[in-house]
Amino acid sequence: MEDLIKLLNEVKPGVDFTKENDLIGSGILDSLSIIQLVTRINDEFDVEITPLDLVPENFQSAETIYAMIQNAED
Amino acid sequence: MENETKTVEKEATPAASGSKVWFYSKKVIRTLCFFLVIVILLLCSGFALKPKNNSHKDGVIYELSWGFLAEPANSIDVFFAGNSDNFASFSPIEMWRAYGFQSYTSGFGRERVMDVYYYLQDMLKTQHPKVVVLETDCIFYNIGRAEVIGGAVERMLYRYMPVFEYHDRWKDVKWEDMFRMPEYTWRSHTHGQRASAEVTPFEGERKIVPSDKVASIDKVSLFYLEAICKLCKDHDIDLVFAYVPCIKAWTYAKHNGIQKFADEHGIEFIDYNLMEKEIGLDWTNDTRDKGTHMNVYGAKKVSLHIGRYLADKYQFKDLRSDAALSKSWANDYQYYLKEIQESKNKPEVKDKSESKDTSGAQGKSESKK
Amino acid sequence: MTYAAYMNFFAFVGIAFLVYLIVPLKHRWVTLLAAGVVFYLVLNGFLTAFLAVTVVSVFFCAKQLEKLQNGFNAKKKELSKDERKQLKNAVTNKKKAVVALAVVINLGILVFLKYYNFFAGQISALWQVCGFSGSMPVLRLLLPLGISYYTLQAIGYVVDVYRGRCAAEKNLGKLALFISFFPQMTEGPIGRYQDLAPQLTQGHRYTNENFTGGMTLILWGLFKKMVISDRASFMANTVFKDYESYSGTMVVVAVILYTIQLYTDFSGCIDIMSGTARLFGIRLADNFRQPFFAKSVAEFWRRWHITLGTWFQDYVFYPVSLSTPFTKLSKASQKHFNKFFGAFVPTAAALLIVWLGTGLWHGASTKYIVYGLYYFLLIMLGMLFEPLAVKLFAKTKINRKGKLWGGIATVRTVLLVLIGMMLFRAGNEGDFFNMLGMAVTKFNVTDLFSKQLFELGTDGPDFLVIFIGVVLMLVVAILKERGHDVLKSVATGRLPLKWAVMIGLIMAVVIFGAYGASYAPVDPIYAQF
Repeated sequence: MEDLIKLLNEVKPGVDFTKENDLIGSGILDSLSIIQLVTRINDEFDVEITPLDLVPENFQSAETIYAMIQNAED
Repeated sequence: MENETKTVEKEATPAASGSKVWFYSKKVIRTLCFFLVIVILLLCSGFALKPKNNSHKDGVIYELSWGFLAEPANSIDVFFAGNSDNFASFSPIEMWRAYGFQSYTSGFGRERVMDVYYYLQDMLKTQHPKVVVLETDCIFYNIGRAEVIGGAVERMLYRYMPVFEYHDRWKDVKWEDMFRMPEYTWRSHTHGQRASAEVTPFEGERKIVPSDKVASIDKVSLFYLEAICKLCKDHDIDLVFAYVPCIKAWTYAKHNGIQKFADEHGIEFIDYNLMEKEIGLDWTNDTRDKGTHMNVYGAKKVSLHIGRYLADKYQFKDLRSDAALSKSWANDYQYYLKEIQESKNKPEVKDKSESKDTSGAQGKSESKK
Repeated sequence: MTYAAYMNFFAFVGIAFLVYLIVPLKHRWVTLLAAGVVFYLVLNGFLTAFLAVTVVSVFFCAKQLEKLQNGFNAKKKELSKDERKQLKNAVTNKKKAVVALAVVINLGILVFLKYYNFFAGQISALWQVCGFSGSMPVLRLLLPLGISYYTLQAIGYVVDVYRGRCAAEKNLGKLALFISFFPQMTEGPIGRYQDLAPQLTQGHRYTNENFTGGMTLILWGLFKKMVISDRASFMANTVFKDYESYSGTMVVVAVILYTIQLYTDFSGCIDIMSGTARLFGIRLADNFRQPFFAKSVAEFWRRWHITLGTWFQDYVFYPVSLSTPFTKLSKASQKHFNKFFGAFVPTAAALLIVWLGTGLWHGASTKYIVYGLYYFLLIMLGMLFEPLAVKLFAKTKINRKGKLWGGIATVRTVLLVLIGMMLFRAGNEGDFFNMLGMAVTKFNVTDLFSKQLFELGTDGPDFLVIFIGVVLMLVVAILKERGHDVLKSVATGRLPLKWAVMIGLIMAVVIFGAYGASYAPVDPIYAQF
C-alpha cells in the first residue's frame, strides 16, 4: 500500500491519496494518468492489469486500486 | 425511474371516482389552455409582424404576386395564376392593348398548386373574374411525398398564422405598424408580369417526341387541384389550363397527365409547347434563359394568342373606350416600356441573387427585381 | 434541415409516441424497433442493408463469444490450475478471433465506404510519384446515415461481451433496436449496451415528468439550433468561403461565430434527440458537459462529444496502451530514459493512434488528420510540462486551484479550441495556416466597429439575438456547473414556471428562428460524419 501511494504521488504529485475517495469523479485521474499509473503498476508490482480492469470503480481511491492489484496477483 | 412512475400513478388514481373524472378533466382543460395561450400569442405576433401594405418595401416577400390587392374591386376580367413561368409569359399590358380586357398575372418562383389555391381565395375577396387561367408548370413542381405534405402544411400555416411567413420582420417592423390594420395600396404597373428583355437563346433544336406515358399528379397536388376546380365552380368562374413554352420542365408525359385531368373535369387545356409554330415562337430570341422562361418577346406572342382565345370565347366588353381606364393603362404601358429598357441596360441583376446564397435570401432578391 | 423536415420529423415522433402508448407495456419496445426501421428505410432506402449486416454480424459474434466463455466456465472447475490456464489461453485466442471477425466486418464496411476514395487517391498519387502509371478507380460510394455512430456502438457491444461486462443479447430484434434506435441514428450519442439496451427493451409508462422534461429539452435544442446556430452560420460561411477578401479581424469574428454555430448545432441537435428519447422514458448518454469551461485541452475533450471520447478511451486507448508491444516499448524507454518516460512514451504512442483515429473519424482528408494531430500535440505538451508546471507553481506559490489561475487556464483553453475550430472549418490545411496568419498579423481592433462586420450575412439584429442567446446559454451552463439543472427544475417545477419557459421558448423559436423563405436551411453538421 505504501509503495502504491508513493507511486501515485509520482504520477500525480500534490494530491493526498490517502484521503481522496473520488479520484475519477473529481477529475484527479484521467485516462492518461490511469495508463501511466497502470504501466508503472504492471512493472513495479509485477502483475498484469488488463483493459478489463480499467473501469472507473477500480480507480476511485488508493484502496480500490490496491484491491485491484491484489486481485490481479491471484 | 420505477419510483417516479409509481408516484405519478398514485396521483393519477385517487380513491373516489368522482374526483378521478375531475382530475382528468382538469388535466384536459389545462392542456387546452396551454395550446390556447400559444395560439393566441402566435396570432397576435402574426398580426403585429404581418406587412401592413403589399409592397416589398413594406415586407411582402413576393410583391408582384400580391399586386392585385390594390386593384379596384371587381376590375379584373382574367386572373392568371402559377409559378415563374406564369409571370414571365402572360402580359396583361399586351392583352389590354390588343383586346381591351383587364387581367392580372399573379405568381412567384417555385409556386405550387397549394399556394395557388390560397391566392385564389384572397383574390376572390375583392375580385370576381370571368376566367382563371392556371399555368400548369406548377402542378409537377413538387419533388417527393414528404415535401408535398410539408409544403401544404407550410402554406396552411402561412395563411392562418402569418407569423410563420413573416417572423423575420422583427428586424425592421415599425412600432406604430404593429397595431394597425393592413391597407393595400401598392399597384404593379406591369400587372404582375416580370418584363425582361434579356435574350439568352436556347442552342440547338427542340425535339418533341409524342409519347403515351402519363405523368401522375401527386395526391396532395391533386387534392388542391380539385379544390381549385370547386372554388372556381362555386364562384361561377371558368377555369382554363395553359402550359407556356418551357424546354427544361415540360415533358410529353406531363402534357398527358394534365390533359387527362383536364378531360375528366371538362377544363380547356392549351399547351403552347405543342403550338410553337402556330404562335411563331423563336427560341433564339424569345427566351431569357436558354428556354426555361419567356422574355417579353416570347410573352407577347403567348399573350396575344391566349388573349385572342379568351376575348373570342368570353366576349369581354372592350374597355379601351373608357377614358379614365385608358389613361391609367397608357401610364402603365410607359412603365412597362421603361422596365423593358432597364432590363436591356443591366442584364446583370440576376447574378446578385445567386451570389448572396449565404443568407439564402433568394426569394427576397427575386422579388426585388 | 428544412422547415418541412422538422415538421416531418416531429409528426413522425408524434405518431410513434402515440403508438408506443397504445401498445401493451411488454411489447412497447417493438414500436421503437419498427419506428427505427421505418425511419431508416425512408431516409436511406437500400442502404439499410449495411445496417442489417452490422446487426446480424454483431448478434452472432456476441452469441459465439458467450458460448465459448460458458464452455470454459463449465469445464474449469474440473481442471487443475495448469490445465485451466492452458484452456483459458486457448479459449481466449478463439474469443479474440471472433471479436476480430466482428471488428473486421463492421470497421471494414465503414472504412471502405468512408475512406476508400481518400486512400485510393493517396495510393495512386504515391504510385505515380514512384514512376508507375495507372491509378486506383474512384468509386461513387453512398454513406449510410449514421454509419460512423452505429458502427462504433456495435463494436463497443461486441467488445463488452468479450470482456464479460455484459451478456450477449438473445433476441435479434432487441439487438437491432439497440443499434438502430431512431433518435440516435443521425448524430449519436454513441450508447453503451449496459446502459441503453435495458431502457430500450423495458416498456415505459407515460409520466408527466418524462413528457415535460422531453418537451423542454426538445424546445431548448430547437432554440439553440434554429435561433443561434443557423443565424451564426451566415457570416461564418461568407468569410470561410473567401477569407482572403476579408481582414484578419473578420476572420477572428468568423471563427468565434463558427465555434458558436458548431456547439449550438451539435449540442442543440443532441438535445432534440435526447428530448425525443425522453418522451419514451429513455435517457440517452450525455454528450456535452459545459465544454467551454474546461481548464485544459484534455479536459475540453472530456466535456465535448463525450461519448466519442470515452469510446476511443475504452476501446482503443486502454487496450492499445496495455498491449504487449506497448508494454515492451514502455520497458525499453524506461531503460533508456527514466521512469517518467517509461510511462510517457507508450502513452504518447497510444494517444497518437487515438487522435489519428478521432481525426479520421470526422472525415477522409488530410485536414482532419492535421486536426487530430493538433490536439495530440497540445495534450502531449500538457503532459510533458506537467512536472515542470507543478514545480513552478510550488515555487511561485501561485494557487493553481484559485479563481484567477482557473480563469486564465479557461481562457487559454478556449483560445486553443478556437484555433482547432478554425482548422475544423477551413477548406483545407493550407487555408487554415493562411487564416491563422491573417488572424495574428492582420488583426485590427478598429475593424470591429466598421460597418463591414454587419454586412457579411449576419446583420446587427442577428448579432444581438446571438448575443442574447449565448448569454442565456452561459447562465444555464454556469448554473449547471454549480449543480443546478435549470431544465430539470423547469420540468419538475410549478405550473406557471413550466408554462412560461415552454411558451417563451416556442415563441422565441417561431419568431427568432432562422427559417423560411429568406433562409437557406442548414443541415446538422455532425450528421455528415
